[in-house]
Amino acid sequence: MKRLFAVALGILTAIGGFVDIGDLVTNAAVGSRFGLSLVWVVVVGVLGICVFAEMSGRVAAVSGRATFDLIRERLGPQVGLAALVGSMAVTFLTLTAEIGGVALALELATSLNYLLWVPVVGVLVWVVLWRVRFSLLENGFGLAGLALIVFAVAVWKLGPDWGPLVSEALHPAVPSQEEGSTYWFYAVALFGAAMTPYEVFFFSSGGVEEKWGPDSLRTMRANVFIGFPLGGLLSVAIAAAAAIVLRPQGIEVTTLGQVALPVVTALGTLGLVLVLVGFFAATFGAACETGLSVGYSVAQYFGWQWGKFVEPLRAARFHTVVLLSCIAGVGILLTTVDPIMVTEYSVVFSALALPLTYFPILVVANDRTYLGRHVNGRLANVLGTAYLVVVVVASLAAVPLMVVTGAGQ
Amino acid sequence: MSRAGHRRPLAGRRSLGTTAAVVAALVTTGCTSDPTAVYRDSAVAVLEATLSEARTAELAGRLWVADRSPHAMAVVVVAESETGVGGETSWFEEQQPPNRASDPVRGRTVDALDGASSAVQAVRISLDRFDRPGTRAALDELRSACSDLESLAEELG
Repeated sequence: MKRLFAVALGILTAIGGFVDIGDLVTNAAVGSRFGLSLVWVVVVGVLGICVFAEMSGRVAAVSGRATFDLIRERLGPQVGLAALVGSMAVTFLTLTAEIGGVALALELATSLNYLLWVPVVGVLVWVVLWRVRFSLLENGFGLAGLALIVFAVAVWKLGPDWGPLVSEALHPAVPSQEEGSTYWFYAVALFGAAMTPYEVFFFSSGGVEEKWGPDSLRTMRANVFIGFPLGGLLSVAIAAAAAIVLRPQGIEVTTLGQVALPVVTALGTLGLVLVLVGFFAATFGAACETGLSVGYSVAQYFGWQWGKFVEPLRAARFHTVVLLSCIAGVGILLTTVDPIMVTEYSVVFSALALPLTYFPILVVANDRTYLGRHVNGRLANVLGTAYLVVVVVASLAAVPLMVVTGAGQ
Repeated sequence: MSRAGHRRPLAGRRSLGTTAAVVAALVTTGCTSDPTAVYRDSAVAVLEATLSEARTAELAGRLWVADRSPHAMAVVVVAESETGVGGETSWFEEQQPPNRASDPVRGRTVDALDGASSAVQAVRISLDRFDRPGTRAALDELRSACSDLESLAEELG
């Protein structure tokens, strides 16, 4: 019974924790411009994150060591450093976007300018990362993030004509009023949002924090293969809600308030309350995850003591990196740079950095020294290699598409 | 503390976006394109971006008037739209028309943008006063301004 509860809790937190500011903004923006014609990218992205999260979770459970810990040892300091710099830069950008997202959610709830909330959020994130237990942090925000199911309820309540929506999802094509290059730019951005690097680093480091062992593999796989796809359905619901309400009116999503409008249209004030709880939980939870991920990756690369499972005094350098990241993220936002723009760039640069994250994981997951009989099987290698090709193509295409389309304008 | 008086720095962001769109048009079509056509395309891009902002304000305002949304959210969304519309309008007004033949495009576009800008401002003012009848009237004006933007974008596009 206890095991079943652990599995159920893991799945629920995986669903609620799947969506972050990048998913919220990108899916709503895509839904408002392309309807459901890019749903296939979410499917491809979710399968990809499942493949690599399972690998990195397996590495953590079997070896008892997290991904970056092994990347440097297995691939050498230079490759490790390249992976560290690429992934950490994107994760830090994502942390900045998440702090901005929390501030924007609080602005919607209170009408206080988001810039006034930014320092408060930065301090709160740091306090939570310093004081709150890892399991409480992960489960609390993951469960609260389930409030985003309100998007699926809103889609049902709006009572759309399902035929065209389903047809658009099943027969994807570039809408007549859009350029092909813009369509592919958003495809790459959605892919980057779904496969954002911090998710696997956080997942594997979290496994070490929670002291996973080989007997945790079944629970870990249930979290990944049930929780992540159901979380992906939330992304689809966000896009569908925008496609139903915003697209017919020619509204393109550029603010978090616009993301919430379809839910308010369908469900009124109660819907707004739930959506704001969901926004807050999703962005605050992701801010904690990205903040920790920056600390994890730096500390693991340099071989420092890390994690919340040891007293802060014994992992002082890890906590210093986390603190400095929070301060720097707040500092960037206080320059009045638009958090939504930071989000848009973070998902595109995520796509750019994907090979630096996923190639080392594939190599480590094939090493019997660490994994023994738990190394990748044929299916994992076929899928992993196929996805490596896809992430390389997405990475190479990201910047040219951004330039040609004027960042999707 | 009211949201009025605080403006998100979206104006800069939207103008940046429109600039990026125009630069992208130049990159993809080459710098040898007809400057009149490029100017007209930038007018259409600005009209469409403004229409998106104005319709957002209209939707948020109508949800509040119908008592389906709290005042705080309507104020935030409308203020953001106002900033967005203002940014688009000032960006386009600063652009130099490539020749005299483009002056009518400029004049009609600026008129439509100014109309939308005033209409969104009127919605924000009524909203800040908790004035539902006033907001309803301003929203009707905004709807008319949106129709003007839409028809001009279709004509020029």
